[in-house]
Amino acid sequence: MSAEALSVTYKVRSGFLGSVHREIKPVDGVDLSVRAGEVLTVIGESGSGKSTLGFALLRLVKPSAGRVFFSGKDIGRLKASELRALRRHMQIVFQDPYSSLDPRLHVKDIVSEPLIGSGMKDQSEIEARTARAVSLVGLGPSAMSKYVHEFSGGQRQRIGIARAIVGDPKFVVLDEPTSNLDVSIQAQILNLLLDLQSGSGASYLFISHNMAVAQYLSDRIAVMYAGEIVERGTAKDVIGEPMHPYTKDLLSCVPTMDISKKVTDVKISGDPPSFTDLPSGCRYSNRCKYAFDLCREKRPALASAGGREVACFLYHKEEKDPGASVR
Amino acid sequence: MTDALKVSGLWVDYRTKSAWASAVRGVDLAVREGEVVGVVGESGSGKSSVALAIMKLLPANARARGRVEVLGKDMVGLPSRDAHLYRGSGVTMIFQEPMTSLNPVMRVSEQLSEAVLSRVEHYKLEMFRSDSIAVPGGPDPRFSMPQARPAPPPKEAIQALRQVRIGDPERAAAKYPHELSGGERQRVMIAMSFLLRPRVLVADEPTTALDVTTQAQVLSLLLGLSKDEGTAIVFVSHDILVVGQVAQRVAVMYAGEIVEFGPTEAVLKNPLHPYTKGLIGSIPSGFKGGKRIEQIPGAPPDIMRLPSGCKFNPRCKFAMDRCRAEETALKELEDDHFVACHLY
Repeated sequence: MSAEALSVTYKVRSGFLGSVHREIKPVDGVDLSVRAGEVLTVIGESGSGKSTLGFALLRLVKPSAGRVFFSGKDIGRLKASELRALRRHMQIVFQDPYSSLDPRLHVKDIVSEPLIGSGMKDQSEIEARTARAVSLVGLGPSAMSKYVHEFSGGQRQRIGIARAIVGDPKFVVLDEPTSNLDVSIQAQILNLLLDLQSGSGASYLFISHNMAVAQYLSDRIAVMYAGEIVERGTAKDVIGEPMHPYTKDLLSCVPTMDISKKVTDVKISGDPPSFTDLPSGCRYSNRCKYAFDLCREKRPALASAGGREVACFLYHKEEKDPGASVR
Repeated sequence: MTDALKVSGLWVDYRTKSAWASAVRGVDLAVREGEVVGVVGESGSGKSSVALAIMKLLPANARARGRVEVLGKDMVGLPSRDAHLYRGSGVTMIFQEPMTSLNPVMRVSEQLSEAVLSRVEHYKLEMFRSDSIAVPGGPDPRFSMPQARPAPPPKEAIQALRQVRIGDPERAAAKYPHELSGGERQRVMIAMSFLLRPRVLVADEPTTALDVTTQAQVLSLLLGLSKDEGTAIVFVSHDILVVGQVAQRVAVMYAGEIVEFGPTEAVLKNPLHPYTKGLIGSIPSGFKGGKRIEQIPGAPPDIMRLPSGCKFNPRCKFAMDRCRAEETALKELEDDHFVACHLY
């Protein structure tokens, strides 16, 4: 799965009776590739565009620019029927296991939907694959003919995962699948995901705001801020030795077992910017303690430095026309 | 230091079709002036019921038993019509979702002014001056409620917004809650607490809905409130690491009981109860391919069908016969470090 210069634009209305039309770009010119068999985590705060990016890769929202390739095919050029057939190989697990599962369907009908949707007709194969997916996520056979309201949050998320893996997908987007769960249940789901991923060799794009979870699951991490990727590299590089000032600030705010490291001493001013009011130049420039004039004038491009890619003028000041290479 | 809040033998029961179900079963908790005590637990552990019982805000189908003393006065026995005398400058609460605790049709400035007025009224009653605690029954509060609101935002309200580091406080004061970000709304709630100068603040998951960078800012504001005003804070959270950042002492709740209680560092670095150990063990740490995190098998029990003996025994890998037969009680094992477990 890869994306080139992917952008998503939403139209927003504001002002009296929505008289003012504006466009916002929650995903702005993102290049991304998820390699076969790897877990790539996109980490970011709320409003960074990370979920929209995941949706755009699966074409659950239509990108306004750029192209997405899946197994060598440009999925933007596929007919609706071709895309539908492909869906079973590119799946998603949603954040909220309450609103993303149909309360009127039995578990077996929820889990088998991607198979039926992709045009599978053979009843016995559908049943066999469904039963296998349900048992892989650790639910008993008795779960098959129950409704979702009979399950706890953690078990519901297992049902959502079963639905995603039932068609042996090559690519799965996991949109904060554990953020609504208690820590002891989260641990069960994270270990389950690790086992399923290594067992199937599928590629996972994990979307998260939780550094510890990202570190535990991912081979590589991409840090997103205000619609752009600002740093990308192996989990060990990005978390162990962050380079972008935003990644550094973000990590310093995460509480750890070391309680002598006080997040309350961290001085980060302000909130993430709104897409309707982005700062000029680097989007982190108004909160960055290292910002200098160039940062406020030009957008830094993602370029290699220190064994990873980072979009910051601290590491490549001599860039001629950074704005152009972002496009 | 005196105890600003003292909870003893607190039970909270909810009425169901057939019987009363106890969500909190015999909780003791004391918070000193200027101290932050964390209450950690997963959903259904009863931590939020403890918070609501302290506030006297339990829903109509619930009842509280035991004692909740704020500056020495019991709140459980207080008639509901007098409860407002305690809320505000006595005890106040910050909720997880600030949008639902702010009035959507009032400007921020008006809501902050209300807090100022409410404090002034409380001080007239002289109930919450720590030097003179009067008993309700003096001036009838129903006749001394504010008559009119001041039109411009009082300086104090603007000052409080500045204190919680909201950029351009004059502009924020003129806004409605929906025009603010989540972090700003939570900071408005804390500004309100600054204005009320409560003796006790109950914060129920105050940073759960916030991003980590905003969370760090809000945590530091709450710490400031306890240091500068001597406010006793009960910090309720599912996240033991967040609690570790602010609390001097922490109580771990499971199935309606406190199973471990002690100084934060001792509980985090040397957890005694198998549940606390499991909770800390299930925090993701390390890189992919490294050590697998432990997981506690199963799920917390349904309060309608609690196991006999220790409530954690069906999920505990150390469970013995005694754990299934005999209830546990908190024992002091180290200095100020209590645990309710038959292993010790």
